[in-house]
Amino acid sequence: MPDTKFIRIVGALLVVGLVAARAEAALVTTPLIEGDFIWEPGDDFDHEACTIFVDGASFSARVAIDSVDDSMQEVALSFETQQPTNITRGTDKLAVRQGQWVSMGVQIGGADILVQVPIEKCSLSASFGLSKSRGVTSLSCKGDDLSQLLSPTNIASVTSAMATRKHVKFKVDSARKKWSLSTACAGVFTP
Amino acid sequence: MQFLRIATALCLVTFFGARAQAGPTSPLLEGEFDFASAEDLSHNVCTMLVDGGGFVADGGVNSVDDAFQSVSINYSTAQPTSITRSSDKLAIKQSEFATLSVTVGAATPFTNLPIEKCSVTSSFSKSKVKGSVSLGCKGDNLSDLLSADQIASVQQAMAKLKRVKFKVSAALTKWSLSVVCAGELQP
Repeated sequence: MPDTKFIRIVGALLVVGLVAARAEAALVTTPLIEGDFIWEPGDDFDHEACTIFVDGASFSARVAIDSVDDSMQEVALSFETQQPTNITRGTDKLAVRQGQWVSMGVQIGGADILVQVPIEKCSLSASFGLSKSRGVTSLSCKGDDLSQLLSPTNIASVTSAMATRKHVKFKVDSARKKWSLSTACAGVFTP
Repeated sequence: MQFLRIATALCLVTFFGARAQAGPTSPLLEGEFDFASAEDLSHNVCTMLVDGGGFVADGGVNSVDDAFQSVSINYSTAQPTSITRSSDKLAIKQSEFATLSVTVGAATPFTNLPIEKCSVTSSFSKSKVKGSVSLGCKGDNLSDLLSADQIASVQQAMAKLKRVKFKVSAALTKWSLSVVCAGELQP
């Protein structure tokens, strides 16, 4: 019996390949913005990276945060617009937004705890200006039951790790149910 | 050269696909939606496609010239400039540099050529089960793209379609093309 996740991945690649095949010709011949642009906040360098990506007819934005918990175990969070809801693109500017259902990934100590799970009340907005070579991203997520996603130990790890990041606000109630996470990431394009 | 472009695009988009490996499970609109103009039926068809972070609106019109030679024009948003999507509605627009392909008989004068003053606007509503894709293009030198005979063929063929307007100046230079493809979602 083939693994359903594998089938989903292959299916997604085939359909996205169709998008690429349809959009094949014009990718490099117009002045409309194309590329993969990454930036990091100057005061939290190497711990937070934001990306915006456009390739022809495909778009995404991403935020990655990493830190260590109290026992020096690595904790990495990532957020992606797998289904953008608003996009604008010109020759100089690109903006990608997903107003809800941004997906979240959590890695603790190198192990995948969550692999890009869509979160209903989670939004991500990213914009980039080629002429200013600067990008800005903001992320805001909340939920009613974190215990369905993470164990108490994992919640403790994420809480202690995110407390050391300047731009990240992560809050969980005492019952480990209601939670919120927000961050902002502004910086200069890092080639 | 074109093969390289396709391969590069597929590699890049496959990378993007690998990033998006979990697959969509939200109620946000996903899928391929096909329409046909009620007036021109199978001679004027269009599609909107949304797959995760990939968005395309495209369409095609086909007819025959006075010598019964087939003529077709296809268009696409290879680089969309604005998009909105929700659980019910999808809109994809490219305000400039939409691409055109033209076939006249056995000849293909150009394929997926970005045209500066060429826009595609499209929208779909799942609840209304209706959608539309419209094309509006113009240019200053059609004779750089098509021969005089091909221009005549395209004019004759497009004149037979109700929702297509193709105009060319007497000098065969200035031109404009508009297509409206609007209708109910095709099964």
